Amino acid sequence: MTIEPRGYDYPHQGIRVVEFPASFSALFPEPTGLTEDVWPPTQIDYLGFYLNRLGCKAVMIESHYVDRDFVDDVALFYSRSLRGYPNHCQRLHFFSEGFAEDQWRALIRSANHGGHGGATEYLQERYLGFCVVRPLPGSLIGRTVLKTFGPTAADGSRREYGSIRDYVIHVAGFRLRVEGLAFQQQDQGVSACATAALWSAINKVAPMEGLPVATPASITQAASRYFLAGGRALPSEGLTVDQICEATRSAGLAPVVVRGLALEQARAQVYGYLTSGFAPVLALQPLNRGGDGHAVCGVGLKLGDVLPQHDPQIHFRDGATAVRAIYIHDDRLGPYAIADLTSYTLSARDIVPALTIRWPGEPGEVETSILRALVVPVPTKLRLTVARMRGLAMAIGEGVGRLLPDLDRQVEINCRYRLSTDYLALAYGFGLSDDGAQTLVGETVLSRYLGEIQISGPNGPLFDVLLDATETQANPSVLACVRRAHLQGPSEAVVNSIARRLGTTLIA
Amino acid sequence: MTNETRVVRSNEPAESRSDKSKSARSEEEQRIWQVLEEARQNVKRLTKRELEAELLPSDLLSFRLKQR
Repeated sequence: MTIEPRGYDYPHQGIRVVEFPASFSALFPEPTGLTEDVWPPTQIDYLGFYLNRLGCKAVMIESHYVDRDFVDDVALFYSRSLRGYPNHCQRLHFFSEGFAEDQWRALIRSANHGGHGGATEYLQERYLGFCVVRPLPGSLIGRTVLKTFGPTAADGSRREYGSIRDYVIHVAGFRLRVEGLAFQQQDQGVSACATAALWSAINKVAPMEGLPVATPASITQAASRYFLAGGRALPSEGLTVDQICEATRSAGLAPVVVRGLALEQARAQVYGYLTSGFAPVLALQPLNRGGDGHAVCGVGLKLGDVLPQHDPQIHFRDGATAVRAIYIHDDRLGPYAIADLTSYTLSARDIVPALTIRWPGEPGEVETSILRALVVPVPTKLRLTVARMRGLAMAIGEGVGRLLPDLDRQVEINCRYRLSTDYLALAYGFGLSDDGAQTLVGETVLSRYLGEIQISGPNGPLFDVLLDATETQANPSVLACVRRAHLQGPSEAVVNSIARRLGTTLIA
Repeated sequence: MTNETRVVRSNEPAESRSDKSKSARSEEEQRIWQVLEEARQNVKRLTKRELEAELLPSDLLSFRLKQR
C-alpha cells in the first residue's frame, strides 16, 4: 500500500461562455451550512444590477486564475486555516454582445489562422470588464474592474470619473483593456471596509508614481505594525484613521487628512482631489448604526451647474458647487455606487456634511452618514493642500470679480493638481503667441505636480495660475500665470498686474 | 583662462515713455494691487474654515472604520 499522492496535480483550466443570466446570482452556488448573512450577498445582486445597466449579454468564465491580491491573502491568513483554501480563483469577463460557446471556439480558430488582431478587436469592442471570484464562501467578490457609465446621466448632469485608470487583461492569448477602478468586497479575514477602500485608492495613485499597488494583506500588516489600540490584527477588526495613514505611508505615499466640517468645505475638498485623480477614502459615521464608522472610496463626481454666488459680499463663483453626488466604491454594495453629498443638521449650531448612499433598485432604501473625514493618499512630494490652494484662488477670484465689472459674480474659480507634462501638452491648445508658448514650454521650470488655479468667465477660461505643489504655502509659490483664450482686450493688462503682484508674469 | 568683465545693461524699454505715463501706469497698478489686497481680506473668513479642517483632533485619528 502507498500513501495517497496529494498536491502533484496542476489545476484544470477551462474557459466557457454563457449567456448573461436573468439573475446574476444564479452563477454562484450557495455555500452549504447556515450562513450568517442572507444569500445571495448584496454585492452579487449589485453587480448583476450594474452589469445589466451596462448592457451585459455574455459572461466568459475562466476557471483558473491566479490573483496577486488573493495569493497574498492566502499567504498571510488562509494558508493557516484547517480548510485547504486553494491559492487560485476564477475570473468572469463581461461582454456587451451575446456570443455562444461555438462562436468563442470559432474566434479561437480564426485567431489561429491569421485573424488574431481581428478577434482581439471583436472582443475589445464588447469588453465591459472582469470580476475575480475568490474561493471564499461568504466573500466571493475579489478584484473587480468594470467600465463606468457614460459622461451624461439621464437627468442631464455630468459624470466625471477622475480616479479611474487603464487595466490590461490577458485571457486566452488576447490582450484586452478596461478603464475603471478596482473594487473588492471585504473578506473579513484579511481586510475590512477601510482596507478595501484604501486598496482602491492606492490602485489609482501608486502607478502614477511607479509604485507597486499594495495588496490588502500588506495594507492590513502595515496598518497594525505600530498602531493596534485594541483587538487583533487578523481577522481584521477594521482600521482607525491613524492606521489608514500608517498603511498609506508604508505604500510609499503621503496621507492628506481633512475633516468634514461643512458641506461647502467638504465639497471643495472632494472636488479638488477627485478631479485631480486622487481617490479619497471617505470616513463615514452612519446615523442609524451607532459606534464604529464605515469607509468607502471616492471614484468620481456627478456634476450639475455651478451655483450662483449667494453671498452679497463675494464677487466670484466656486466651481466646486457643481458637485451633486459622489460615485463611490462601497464594499458592502459594489463599484460606482451613487452617494448624494448634502448637509445634515445635528443641532441648531452644528450642520455637518453628509453622504446619502442609495441602494440600486430600491429607491426608498437609503443610508445617511456624516462625512467625518477624507484621507487622500497622494505622492509624497505633493505638499500643497487643496485648502491652501483655494485660499489663494478665492483671493484672486474675488479680485478679478471686483476689477473687471463685466465679470462681477460671473468669475469662477477651480482648483486641481495636474502633472506639469500634461499641462504643457494641453497648453498647445490655449492659443498662446509663439513667444508665449516658447516661454512656457522652454523657459519655465515647473514642479512635477502643479497646483492649478483656473479663473474662468461665463464663456470659458481666462487665465491659469500655476503653483509649485512641492511648497506648503500657495503664495509665494506661483510659478507662472498663463493666458487662456477668453482673456482679451484691456482685461489682459489687469491680469498682468495681478501676475506681477503674485511675483510672476503673464505668459500670453 | 581669464576673467571677463560683463557689462550689465539696464533693462530699459525700447520705446521711450514719458515719466507721466509711467507714473499713471504705476498708479493703476497700485490701485489693482490695493483691490487685490482688499479681496484677500474679504475672503479670509471663507478660507479660515477650510484651513481649520486640516487640524486633526485625536478622537478623529482613533475613529475606527469597520462596518460590514
